[in-house]
Amino acid sequence: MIPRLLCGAILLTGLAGLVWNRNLIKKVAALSVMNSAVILLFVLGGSETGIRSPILTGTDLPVVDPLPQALMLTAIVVGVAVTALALVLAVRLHERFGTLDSREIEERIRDEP
Amino acid sequence: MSPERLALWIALLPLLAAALPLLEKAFGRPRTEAGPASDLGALLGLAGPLAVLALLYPAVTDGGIVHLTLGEWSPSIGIRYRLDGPAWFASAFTAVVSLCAGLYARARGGYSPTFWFLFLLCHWSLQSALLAADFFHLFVCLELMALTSYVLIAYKKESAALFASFNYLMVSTAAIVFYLFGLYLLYGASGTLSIEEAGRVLASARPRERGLAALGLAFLAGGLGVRTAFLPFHGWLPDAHASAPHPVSALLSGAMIKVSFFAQWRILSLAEFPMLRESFLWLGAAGACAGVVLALCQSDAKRLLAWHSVSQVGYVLAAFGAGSPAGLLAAGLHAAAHGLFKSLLFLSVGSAADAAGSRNAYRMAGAFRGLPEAAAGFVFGALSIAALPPFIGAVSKDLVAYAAGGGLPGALLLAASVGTAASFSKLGILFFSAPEPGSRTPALSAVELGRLRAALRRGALPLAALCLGTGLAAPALVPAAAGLLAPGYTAAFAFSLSGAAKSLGIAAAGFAAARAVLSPRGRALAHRFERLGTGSETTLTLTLLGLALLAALGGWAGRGIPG
Repeated sequence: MIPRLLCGAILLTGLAGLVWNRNLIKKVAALSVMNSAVILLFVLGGSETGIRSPILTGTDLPVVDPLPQALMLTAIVVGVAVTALALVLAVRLHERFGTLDSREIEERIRDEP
Repeated sequence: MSPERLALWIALLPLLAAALPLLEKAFGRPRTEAGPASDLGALLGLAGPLAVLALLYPAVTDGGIVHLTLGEWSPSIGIRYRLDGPAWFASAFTAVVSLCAGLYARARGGYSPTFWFLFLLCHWSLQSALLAADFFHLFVCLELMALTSYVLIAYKKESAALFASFNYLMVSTAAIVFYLFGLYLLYGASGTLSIEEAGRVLASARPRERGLAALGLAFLAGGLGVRTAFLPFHGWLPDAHASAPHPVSALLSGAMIKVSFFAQWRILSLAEFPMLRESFLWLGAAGACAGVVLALCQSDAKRLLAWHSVSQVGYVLAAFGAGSPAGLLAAGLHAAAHGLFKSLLFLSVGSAADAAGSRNAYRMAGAFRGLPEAAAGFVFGALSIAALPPFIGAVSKDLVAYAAGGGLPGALLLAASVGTAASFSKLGILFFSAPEPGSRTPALSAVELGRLRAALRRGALPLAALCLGTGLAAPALVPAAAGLLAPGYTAAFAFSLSGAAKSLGIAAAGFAAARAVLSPRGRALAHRFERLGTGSETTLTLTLLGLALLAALGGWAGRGIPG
């Protein structure tokens, strides 16, 4: 139970960073933290059926559930793509406004005609 | 070719076609317009799926289902496609909307092969999300949909669009993390990724497993809810849809927000958790009303349209939440009708804004001068969304009202109808009023105006014709749609005098309300609420509250299930 709660704590840490941080780059980092928490949770869940690698050789020793790992590999790839794109957008916004403060950017866009 | 193999091509055609513009970008000379390869790709990827769908119609009507598991894997863990009636229906109108938006973009010009690559990739992700029959493939499609839409929104690199895209990215990625969390719970409870098999396993599972699954479903619903943008997950939508290029707005508002709704439909029909479904009736009705009030407050014409998407999705959701076969039919039909008329409105109003040089509705007087196509498109779209017969909006809204029934949700939806009529009367009054003499120099050259008109003729007029044509053919189309969306339910529809009188009454009340909003005091009041509920922090907070609400409902529903 404790490892699960720790994953939950990581998730909430990322969430708090996302909501309360005004720096665009730190928001992106917070998203990555959130994503990692769920990935950990899946891998943890998969490891409960056994600890051996899932190479089936005829012996019926308990193996790790391979499916969550396969899924999380995909989720990591998707996460990398999203992070990269978010950073590109942040860089573009910084070029345009000279700041990474989300609230300031928001106010300046609002004041544009 | 067997229907199974054929169904694969719905998703495969756009994917393969997307390679053509990419090759053109990589190996051709640098260009700012689509070249021959991009054109061919767009034709294959946008019109191709429609042809395939036409062939598949007999296989899916009246409850038929076409199944396909890729690569001969076991159905419980492999990538699985399922084409059923609702999927066929959604796939068809998604392809129509994408095709019209694509025709507009091609004739308008200014979109490079990169754009076409992303546009086709986006269409592919929409089509395969509609076919996906396992939770994880659905996740991948949703993320592809989102990734392409972030880039498409910011394609013109305007500051507002860049920031809107960033905000959308933040909130939808946070929500997809919760989708994955829901998937974790559901996989733990059912041990399968297939949507259908999860339903079967859960039907005979122990109460503890069913409780976990109910909680998981609630998180899945929340993650999808951000993409569908119903209340309270709507905060990102007005800015993103308003600042995107017009064809992209049309695609996003017309098709994309519906695709996640149909995914929701598929997931929730596998396991009956009444609490969750009933909450959709209330969230939908409240969202329809709130969206329309905020739409009335907008001065940016495209932002006004975007708020109406929030409101119209509320109608769809309310009908779905009603849970009856009539509700399913109404939800599906209204989603399609909204796809047609909202993309039409985005294309026509967007073109008028280009011609006027401003998106501010108060500065767009006489914007339709020299653009009769845009005027026609706007009028057809506005009459459809305000549900005046014989347009398709009148048919679908009538069915929604019937499905939602009386009581508070019904009253909220009726109020939303008056508000819808009011805000389109407001736009109409502003657009068709005479401009102040000598106040405006044309924002576009004659050549540009010509391109704009050609774009409207290709993209907007077919949509306008569809809005009217499908409405006129409703007595024949509604039973056919029922065969796809709610097999076994016999529906009949005919325009009635009393219905027409009611629509006219609503329109008249709306017109009076529009005059009140346009008065100086109304304008001052509206201006104060213009930005309500769309800041980046508000969006995230509302989304999290919504997730907490759904989780609480799901958890509660899970407890009450008898073992």
